[in-house]
Amino acid sequence: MRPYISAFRMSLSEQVTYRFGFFFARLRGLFVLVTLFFVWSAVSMKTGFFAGYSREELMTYVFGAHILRSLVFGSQSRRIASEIHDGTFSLFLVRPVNHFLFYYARELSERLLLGFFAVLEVGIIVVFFDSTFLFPSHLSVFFFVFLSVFLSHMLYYCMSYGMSMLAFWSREAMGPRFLFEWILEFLSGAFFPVSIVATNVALVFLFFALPFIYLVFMPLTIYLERVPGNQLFLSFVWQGMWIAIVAGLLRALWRRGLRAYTGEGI
Amino acid sequence: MTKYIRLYGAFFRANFMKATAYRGNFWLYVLLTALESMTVYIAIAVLFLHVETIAGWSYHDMLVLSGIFIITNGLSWILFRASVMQLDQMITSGDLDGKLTKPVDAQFLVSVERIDIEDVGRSFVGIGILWLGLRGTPLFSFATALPFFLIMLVSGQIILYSIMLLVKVISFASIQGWSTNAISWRFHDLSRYPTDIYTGMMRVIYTFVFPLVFIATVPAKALIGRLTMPFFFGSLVAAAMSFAVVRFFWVRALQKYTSASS
Repeated sequence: MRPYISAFRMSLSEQVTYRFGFFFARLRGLFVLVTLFFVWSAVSMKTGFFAGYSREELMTYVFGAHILRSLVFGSQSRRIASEIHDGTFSLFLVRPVNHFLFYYARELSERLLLGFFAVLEVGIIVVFFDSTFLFPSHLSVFFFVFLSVFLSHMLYYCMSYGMSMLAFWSREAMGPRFLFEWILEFLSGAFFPVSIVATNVALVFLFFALPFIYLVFMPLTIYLERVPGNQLFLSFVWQGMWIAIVAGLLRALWRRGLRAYTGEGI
Repeated sequence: MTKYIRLYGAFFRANFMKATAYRGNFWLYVLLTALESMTVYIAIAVLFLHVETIAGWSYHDMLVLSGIFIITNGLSWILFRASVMQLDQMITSGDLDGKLTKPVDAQFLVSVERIDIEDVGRSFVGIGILWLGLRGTPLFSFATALPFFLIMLVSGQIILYSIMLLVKVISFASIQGWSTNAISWRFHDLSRYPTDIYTGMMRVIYTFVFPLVFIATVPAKALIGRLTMPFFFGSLVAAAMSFAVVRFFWVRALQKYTSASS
């Protein structure tokens, strides 16, 4: 366990070493949050509702999505592709550490740090713009949200790790990764509650047939208490199933990738 | 001026040859940037499933705005963005020193040396969305609005360039200049929505401090027949002032630059 705790600590130190860069990265997130706040304020201004969501629910969704983006979407596994290309990946093959868990420890520290700052930012915006952030009526909801967020976080990490594995076969792993991250963020509900597409069959298929809605939309829908009790259990089953599918693919990619790996740059 | 146009042409050709040397990669990136731009259209389509207007902008108006936003995005990558965003690397690696010794303005070299040709894919998507938004517009009103639109498109690019370079000039004072890329990209992203959605202090900031209103919103207003003369002249003044401000900071930064390599 010790190497992973060290990786966790190292990653945490790295995050705050360049404070100016860290501050700018958070400022960027704040810009996005403020913009989304104004967009959703504008669409719900006339009636106070939008696609079955009250203005307060929409704002809570936007703020919650900001926090979830920080807790779920990571960037640590991007490094894996460059390590495979420059050969530093070979070091992991001779060390007594599990590569997947090592990077997970790094990812977790980054997510917890950024999640903490995202909560602070939401607090600032709520106070500054005199907005609303709803809280669930039952304490038990927090437990379900925590579980769902944890599963989302795992699902994203597995998918992100798998995308980096492409570097075993291609020098151009960043292109597909860039597309993956962009589409994933869009389809996950990070910008709007994806249930608003319910009137268009093609869009429903695009959003709901893929695992991405379990990253942001589902945890926030649970938080807003819009998932009936019987479907709550089902949503966890689906999240778990997608993790199992992606983890299975990951294992296959890892095995085949190691066979294709030539240790270039050693 | 002719020398600079010729130089830009030479850089363009060199970058084009470099980008198309690996054709598979080139077309993959064209496709990726086009797909990324398509998400802007999907977002608009999803929003307008439930509302008829957003801050006074109809579905077709929003398509015009989105199309222009995507075109400005593509144009910026072809004109200056790719080059400006690597200013921090030029400073930390010492590559900037070489540019300072050339018999050409260093700001020009820093701004156009690298051109991302593959981002032209965005502009095609933008033109397509713009066409969808303008389908119902009478030809005569389109033709009369076109010159104003083109002038404001150029003004918008100057403003965007100035904001991006201004943010990147921070790299002279900090070795963590990479983080400034993200923030300058976000500045442009903010212009994808009509600035009419912003109220109070934010509206003042996006009009006068960072004049994002002139990048996509005002050119879009020109094409949908809502342009007022104060906005037209405001666009020209904002472009001139933005360029003067960034030039001032660039010169000041160079005066304090001590070189990283020699």
